Amino acid sequence: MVRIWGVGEEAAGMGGGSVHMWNRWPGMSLITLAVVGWLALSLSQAAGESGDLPKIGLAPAFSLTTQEGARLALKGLRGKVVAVTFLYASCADTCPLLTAKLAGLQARLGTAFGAKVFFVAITMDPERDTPAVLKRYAQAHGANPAGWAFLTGTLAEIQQVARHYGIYAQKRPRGAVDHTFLTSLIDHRGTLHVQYLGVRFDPEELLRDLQALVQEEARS
Amino acid sequence: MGRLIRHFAAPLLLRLEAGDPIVILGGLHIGCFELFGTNEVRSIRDLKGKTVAVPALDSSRYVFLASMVAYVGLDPRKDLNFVTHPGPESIRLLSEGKIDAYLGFPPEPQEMRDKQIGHVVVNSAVDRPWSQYFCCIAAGSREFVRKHPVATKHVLRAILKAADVCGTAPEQAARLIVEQGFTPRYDYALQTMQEIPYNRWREYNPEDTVRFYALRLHEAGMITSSPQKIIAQGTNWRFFNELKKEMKG
Repeated sequence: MVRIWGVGEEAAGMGGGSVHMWNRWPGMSLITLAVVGWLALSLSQAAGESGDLPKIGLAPAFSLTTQEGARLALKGLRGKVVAVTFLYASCADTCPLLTAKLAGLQARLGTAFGAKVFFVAITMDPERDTPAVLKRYAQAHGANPAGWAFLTGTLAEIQQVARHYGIYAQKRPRGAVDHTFLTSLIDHRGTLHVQYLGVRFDPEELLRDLQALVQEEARS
Repeated sequence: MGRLIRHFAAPLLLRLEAGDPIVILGGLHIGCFELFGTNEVRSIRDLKGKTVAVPALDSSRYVFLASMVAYVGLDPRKDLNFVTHPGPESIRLLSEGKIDAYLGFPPEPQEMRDKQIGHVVVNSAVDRPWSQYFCCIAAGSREFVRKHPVATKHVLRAILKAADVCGTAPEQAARLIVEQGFTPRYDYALQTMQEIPYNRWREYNPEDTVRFYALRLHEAGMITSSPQKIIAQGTNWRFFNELKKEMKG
C-alpha cells in the first residue's frame, strides 16, 4: 500500500504542528487529485527513452461507440499513431479550444492524417453525448471523420476509460463536467509515449511529436 | 507500507540532517507563504527585536522564517522574539498589534488581505529570492523508493498531474477544495489556485532548491551538512526528470 501524506502545520487555521502532521491545505487538494490519479493510472510502466520520446508504457485499452454508431477499439488502431483526448459536446469554454487546436493539425498532417495518424476524442458526458450529438459536434468543429473519431459509451464504460487514463471528472449541478484535460500520444504498437496536460500546450510541439512517432513507425 | 510525502523543502533538509531515511524526489510548486507585518515592519530586517508568531518552534513556518532572517544577516535565535500561537489567534493578535509579524499559509494570506490585517512584507510566490525556488517538494521513504520504483513514479506522476490541474483549471480545483471542506470560501480557494503557479514545476530546478535552503539553514545554524552532501545522499531526481519529459503542458 502506498500512503501519500503531507506534512507541516499548514492546515488552514489549524494552528501549530510539527513536520509529521497531516497537511490539509492546499496539499490535500493535490493529494485528493493525486490519489484519483494514482488509482486511475494503472499503466504498465516501462520508463526510459526510446528514440526521441519517452515511453510511459502500454496505453490503456478501450472499446467505445463512434459518432457513426460503430464500435471502435484502440487495438483496432494499431499501425497508426493515435492522439487520445477527453472532452464533451456541451462544454462551452475549454473543450472547444482543445478541439480547435487539434482541428488545426489535421491539414498540417497532410496525407498522414487518417492514414497514419488518428485522433480519438472521448466524451466526458456520455449521458448527453449520444453518437448523433457527437457527430454534430464533430461537424461543427470541422473534424475530418477519416482521421478523427468521437467516442461515447455507457457511463460505466466511460468512467473505466477515464480512470485508466488518470482523468478526474465530476459533473456539476447544471450539467457542466469538471474534468482533466489530457491528450495522450500512442504509437503504432499501442505504447503510450507522452501526455499533454491542459489546453495551453504548443500545437507545434504536439505536431512534432506526432510526426516523430510516424517516423519511428517508418523506421521499424 | 510505503510512504511518500509532499512538504516545504527546508524542514525536509533538517530531517535528512537528522538521519531520517528519506529521499527527495522532485519539486511541486513555488510560493505558499506570505509574511505579514504591522506598519513598523517594512522589510525582513525590520523583524529585529520584534515579536513573531509561529504555530510551533519545530514548524515549517519557523524554519522558513529562520531561513529568511538568516539570509539578511539576523540570528533567528537571538534577534527575534518567537511566540507560539495557533494560526487564527496569531492573525487576531496581529490585527490588534500585539505581535509584529506572522507568516501566513493559504488560505490565511487571502483572508488577511481581504480583511486588511497587516500588510504583505514578503510574498514567497513573487519576491526574490524565495520565488526562485520550490516551496513544496516530494520525498519518499528511501526503502520504499528503492524497492518500489514503479509505484514511486506512478505516485509522483499523479501528484504532478494534480499540480497541473490546479494550475490549468483553478476554478475546478477551487470547487473541489470547498467541497472537501478545506475552506468554506470559494473566493479564497480560487485566489490560492490562481496565485500559486502550480503548473510551472517544469521550470524550476529542485536541486537548486535543496542547495538554496541548505545554505540558508547553514547560515541559521540549523544544519552542518554541506549542500553537496545533502544532494548526494538525500536526493534522487530520476523520476522527476523522466516525468518532465513524459508530461507536457
